[in-house]
Parts: sequence; C-alpha cells; structure tokens
Amino acid sequence: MSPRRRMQYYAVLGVVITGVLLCLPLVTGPYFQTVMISLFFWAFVGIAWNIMGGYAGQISLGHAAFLGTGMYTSAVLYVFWGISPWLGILVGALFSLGLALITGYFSFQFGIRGPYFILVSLAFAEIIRVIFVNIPSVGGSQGLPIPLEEPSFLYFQFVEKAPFYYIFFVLMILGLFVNWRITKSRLGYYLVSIRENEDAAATLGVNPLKYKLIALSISAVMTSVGGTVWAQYLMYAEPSHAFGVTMSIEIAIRPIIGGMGTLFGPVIGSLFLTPLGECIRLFVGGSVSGVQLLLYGVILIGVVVLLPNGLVFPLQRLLSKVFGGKER
Amino acid sequence: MFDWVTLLQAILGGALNGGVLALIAIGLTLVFGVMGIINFAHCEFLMVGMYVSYWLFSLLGMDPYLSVVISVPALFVMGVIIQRFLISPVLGAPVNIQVILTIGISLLLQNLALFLFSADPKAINLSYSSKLLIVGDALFFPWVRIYTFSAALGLSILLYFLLMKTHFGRTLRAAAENRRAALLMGINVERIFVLAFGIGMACAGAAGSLILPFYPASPEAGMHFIMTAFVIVILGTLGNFVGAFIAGIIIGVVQAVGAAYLPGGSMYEAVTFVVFVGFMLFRPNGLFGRSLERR
Repeated sequence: MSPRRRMQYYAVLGVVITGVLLCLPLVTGPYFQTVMISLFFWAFVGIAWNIMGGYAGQISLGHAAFLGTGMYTSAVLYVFWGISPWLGILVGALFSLGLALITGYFSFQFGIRGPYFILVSLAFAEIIRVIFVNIPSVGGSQGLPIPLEEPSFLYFQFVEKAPFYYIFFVLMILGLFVNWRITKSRLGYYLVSIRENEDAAATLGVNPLKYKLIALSISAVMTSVGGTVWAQYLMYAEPSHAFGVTMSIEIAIRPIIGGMGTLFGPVIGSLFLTPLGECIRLFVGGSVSGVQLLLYGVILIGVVVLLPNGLVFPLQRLLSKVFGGKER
Repeated sequence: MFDWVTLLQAILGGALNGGVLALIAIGLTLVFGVMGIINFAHCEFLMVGMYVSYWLFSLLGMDPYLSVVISVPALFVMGVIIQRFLISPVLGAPVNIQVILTIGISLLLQNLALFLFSADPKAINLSYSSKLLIVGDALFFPWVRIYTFSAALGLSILLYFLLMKTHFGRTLRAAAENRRAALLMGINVERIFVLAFGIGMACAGAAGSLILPFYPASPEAGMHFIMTAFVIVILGTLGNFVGAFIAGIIIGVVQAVGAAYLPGGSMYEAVTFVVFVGFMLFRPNGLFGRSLERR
C-alpha cells in the first residue's frame, strides 16, 4: 500500500474512531463514561508531560505542582470569589507558567539535568504540597470542596458526566494537535536535538535554556488547564491528591510506557493503564493505592527491560502488518 | 549569653546521625562510581533492611545490631539478583531509561512493603532504648544513637579497607576509574558490577537495621532519606567514598542545627534541599572536586 493510501486510510480510521467516541456517551452508562473521562484526562496531561519529558528529554516527577496549581487556583477563585472556572483556567495557567519559568530557570541555568532534575522536580512539588497542607483557609489537609450548585456552563457545573466526557475528549484532541504542531515546527527539532545531545545542540546554536524553558512552559500550562477541569470534575481539591508524588507518577507513567517522544504514546499508555487501574480498583478496593503503584512498578520495570521505547512501536508494527505496507 | 548548649547538642547529635547517613551515601556513591548508575531505589533497600531486622526482632527477639549480620548478606544477595537481572541489561542504555528502571524498582519495593506490612510504622522497643548518655548535666545523647554511629563507622572503615587494601578492592577501583582499561587488564568487570551493586545494597540494608532502634519501619521510610542521600553523595563528590562519609557527617550536623533553630517540624528537609540546590548551582563537583564525567 502506498504511503499516500496509508495516510488516507489512517485519516478515515481517525474520523471513524472519533465519531464513535463522540457518540458513545449517548448509548453508554455513567460508569463507562467515568473510565473514559479518566482515560482522556490522563492522556491529556500525559501529552503535556511528554512535551517536556519525551521530546525535550527532561523527565520530571513534579508535574503535580502544575496540575495542583490549576486545580487550586480555579477552586479558590470560585469558592471564595465566585469567579467562573473558565477564568480560573487562565489564572491557573498563568500561575503555573510563573512557577515553570522560575523553577525552570534556576534548574536549567545552573545545569541541573537528568536525575538531578527529577529530584528537584520531586522536591519542588512536595514543597508546594506541604505548603498547601499548612494553609487552613483553603482547607489544609482536608482539601477544598467545590460546592455543587445548579448546572451551568458558565460556571463549569454539570450534574451529568457526559459534558465532562466531551470536554476532556476535546482537550485530548487539542493536546494532540498542539503536540503535532510542535513536532512539525522548528521548536520540535530543537527539543529533540537537546534531548539527544544537549551540549552538541548548544554548539550548533540551539539555546538549551531558552527552549527547555519554552517546553516546560507549554507543558506546565497544558497540565494546569487539565488540572482546572479535573478539579471541576471531582468537585474537590486536596493537597495530597493534587500535588502528591502519586499524581506526578500517574502523569508521567502513561507517556513513559506508551512511548516517550511519540505523538500517541501517552494516549496508548492511558489506553493500557487506565482501564487496568479501574480493574484493580474493582478487585482490591482497600489497599488500592499500594497495589496499583506496585503494578506500576512492575510495568515500568517490564517496559524498560523489554520494550524500552514504549508500547507505541510494537503497536505500530502490528498495525502495519494488519494494514499491509512496509514497516518503517 | 549565647546558648552554647543547644548548639553543641545539635552539632554532636547531628554528627551521630551523620554516621549512618554517611553509610547510606557510601553505598549510593559506590554504585555510581563503579557503574555510573544513579539508583533511585537505593533507600528502598534501606527500608527492606529495616523490615528484615524488625521481623527478626519481633519473631526471634534478635537485637537489631546483631541482625546486621543477617541483613547485610541478605541485602547483598538481593542486590546481586537485582543487578544481574534488571540492572545489567540497561547499563548501556540512556540515563533516562536507567533512571526509570530504578524508579520502577523503587515503586515496586515500596508498595510491596505497603501491601505486605501495611502503612503503620513499626517501632521496636529495646530495653536500653531510652538510656541516655548525659554529659556535664547538659548534653543528652541516647545510647542507641551512639551505638548506631559506632556500628556505621565500623562498617565504613571495614569497607574502606576492603576498597583500599584488598585485591578485590583494587579491581573495583580500577573498574570504576576506567572500565575499558580494566577489561583489557583481564578484570571481570561484569562480576565487579554485580558485587559492587550487592555491596551498595548491603550498605543500605545495614543502615536500615542500624536505625531501627530509633526509627520505626514503614514503607515510606526510604523516601525520607533519599533526598538527603543524594545531597550527601553530591556534596562528597559523586563516586568519592571518603567524601561521602565526611559529607554525611556534615549534612547530619546541618540537619540537626537546622532542626534546632528553624521553626516547624520538617523545615530541616528544606535546609537539605537548599544545600542540594546550592551545590548543584555553584559546585556540582562537590567538595572534593573530582570530575563528574566518567569515561
């Protein structure tokens, strides 16, 4: 099959799948929608993380900082001043941008890379978590509930799950689009060059500080947006959930096992892990946190040892075999 | 009048703590120095050591200091197995992959412990747990901390002799300094790696056993130490054994002084973090300046 035909085939496939996904809420119950919402959400924040971790090659275990900022900013603005979360998205994104620029600057300017950056990002999110736990006015360790009032689009209040299904789906698509545009742009190439060999890239005139900051900013803003919507979905903002290490791990693990630095990696990762997580929740209940993370550990180890580039590539090969055409 | 007593208490108490912190860091820096791997799961092995000693104490009434005799070989074996099957395959891979692997191991161990033993911290109480050494009616040191420090110091000295004076130690240092040259000299580098990793884990496990008298065992125990361990390793220069020990003492003191003078319970962690960032910014080669880059 010629490449052109293959592109057309994929395009049609994409439209069909999208169509099906869009119609599903009409025929399925709330539980299915719940799982899909989670799937889309984690895929979206995974895409956001991937820009930093996969394309720029700077793995971060502190993205919960940005997500939590998004969650809390809009929650606080709404609960205390009745400001619509739509505005909250912007404000949260602004704060996250600030955070990203500050921590990014201090890390990258002074050569904090690789494992050290991981540690710094971890510590950073932890510090923010501890700060929020110690602020009683926004709920302290109990968190901040977002009161459910009448359903309203303006105030991001929905009783049913279906609207969130569509919102997160759209977010995911938007995320993919942004990611795709980056890949096709100069920025994308600069990021990859930084990932592959930062020093070599620098000698070629690519400013690592500048582009890493850009990547981190985009990543942070996207994550923050996801966080705001997530808070509205959960109707709750709580520090250990919003800023915790578990959250950072959840964000990072889907792109990692799905395929870092690939467009659909986070989606595939989410496709694989999210339903798995749900099954575990169903079967285990009590010590869910432990078992789920244990499984994550096993999967991470398995993927690293067996499929270091993630699930995307074997999947791609499978698809190629199914649809014919040369394996790239 | 300046309160010398508090300061002295903090400094000396901190130095005592620093001993075992140093032991943890030595294991970490050894693994990095020899294999170039930054092991995120290092402190989980500490946690494993704690649990080993805890159960030996609960079930057999074995004194934790005595149980070091068991936990060291046990963790050594565990380290060997993990190295052989999990670490070895990724030695040539990009750093990110290695890091992800060790994070996976860390998650696995932590949550396995959570699953098996629940999150409740398990403390032990020895007959001499609360005995204090009182100096001059003003300074108080729990004897257990002194024992722990002595044991950690002893183990470190033992390791030092192993590295410096034995043939094995020489081959290990050779492999660390220049892997290829060591290979050319007929040194079985692969075996060195396995043994080095085992020793590193044994250090962590021993440290775990040693702190059990005053630090309850819990699945997250490892996470409490990992940041500190990394800071010490960097401070003492990556791969520098003696440096790690000295840095351990220093950080122990810094943390204790921080805890004594800063408000809030966990501010001393912030101090550690500040030291970490400070060193990364201004002196990433640590106090002893050996090159970070390995050939």
